[in-house]
Amino acid sequence: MIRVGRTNDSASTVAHIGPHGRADSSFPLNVLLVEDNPADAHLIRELLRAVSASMFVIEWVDRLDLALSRLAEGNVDVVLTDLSLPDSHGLETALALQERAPKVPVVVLTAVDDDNVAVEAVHLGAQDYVIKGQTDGALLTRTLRYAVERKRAEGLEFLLRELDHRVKNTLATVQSMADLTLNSSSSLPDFAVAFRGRLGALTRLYEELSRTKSAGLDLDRLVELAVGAHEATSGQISASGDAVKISSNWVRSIGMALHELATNATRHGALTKAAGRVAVTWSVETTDTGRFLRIHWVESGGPAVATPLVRGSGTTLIEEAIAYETGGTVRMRFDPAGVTCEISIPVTGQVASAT
Amino acid sequence: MNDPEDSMIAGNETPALAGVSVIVVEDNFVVAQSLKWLLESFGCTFAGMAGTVDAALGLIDSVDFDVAILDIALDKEDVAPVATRIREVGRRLIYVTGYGDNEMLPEHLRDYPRLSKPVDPDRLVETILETVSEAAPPAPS
Repeated sequence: MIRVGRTNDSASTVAHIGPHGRADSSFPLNVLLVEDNPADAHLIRELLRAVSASMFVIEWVDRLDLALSRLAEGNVDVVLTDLSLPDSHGLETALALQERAPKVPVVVLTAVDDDNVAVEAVHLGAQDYVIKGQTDGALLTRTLRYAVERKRAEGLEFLLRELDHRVKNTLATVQSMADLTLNSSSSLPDFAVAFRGRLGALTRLYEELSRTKSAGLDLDRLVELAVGAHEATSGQISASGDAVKISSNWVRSIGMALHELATNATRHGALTKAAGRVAVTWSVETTDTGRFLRIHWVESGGPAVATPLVRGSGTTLIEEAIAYETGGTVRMRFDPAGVTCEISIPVTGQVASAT
Repeated sequence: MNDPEDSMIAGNETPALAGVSVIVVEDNFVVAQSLKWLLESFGCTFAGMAGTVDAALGLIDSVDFDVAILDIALDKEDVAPVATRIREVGRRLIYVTGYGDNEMLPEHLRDYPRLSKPVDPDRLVETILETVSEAAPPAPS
């Protein structure tokens, strides 16, 4: 398996995922053989069968269109294809197969006088090529297995790169969050409480996103996670609204705004009193200027509210971040009866009403 | 801007980047905001920030600046149009990226300095100083 903890660089990690790193349960490999010459097709099946009857399951089709529809069904590990078919010729054949199933490696079968085209196909993304009449069962077996392994390693390398990118972005976010919190804290204990709160909210949001494989979060769940640091008062907070899914890139923006509102309510607003209440409601509304997600935060039963003389970093985070990251607007009002906040975000496919 | 060599007046140090105006193109507000503070602490004039390609193009055309700091991965948007526009208006460009390389950019836009995230303040100052001391921005092609 992936031995991330024991190796120092990603390249050697990838190297461990070679032929030995994979569970044998993925055998046999499903090979899609695309070849219009029945004699050639027969020969290849015999070559592979002679090496091992159990390593490959071979499906044979003789046209590109049949190959493409078979690929669309899935469960093909590798394609072995002739480039000249009744309905496609040359590089077009390899490109069409790769485009239909980008994760499935393609190995090109070529005639001895035609290997230039095969090399070109490899440049364009095919994994390898074999020359008809110059291959034996062992070579063909190795070529197909390595094609599968290389393609898997490529995918893994891509994942590691993506992970590296996310880690660095997360570190940058945490660093900046510390700057922002430091800038508005009057003491170190103050800083510690505010920073931990923000980091905790971010952590809960990312945790849930990773659980949903970055497919986005339902807004009611997002509200729960964002105000979750204030669990002692959870009975005082109600949340209801349309079924709405927030896409992953907006989860942080909306989640952190809600977290700041909840923190503010806990420190200065309705949640400082047992009788205090917060109602969070939302809806997707269509107006003349487009569709908007509207989130209302209404506090009641708390102490009399006065407009803060100096707006804290929480208020900045809510108002400016929402405007900057989502193009939305925030109206915060410090009514004597309680703080209210209306967040309005233009919906451009980022927020999808669940059906 | 002031020559950094001349700026070390005893007891009255001019900030390293005094007189340099900078814009920041970065989709995460908190990151952009802290970059703004950092730049201002080095004496930069902060000319604005943008979180999307459209906002960035608008910003480039509406404010005067010497250097643009551009996040390569703007929330899945292609930043090539932003880099191209910065070249066209003859301003300096510095990339910021969480990726180890800049191969997601077209080749003709890769030849600019690159800072890794999270941005190291010393590297930031060095890179800006190097960039503004160049004779002229790379000619548009």
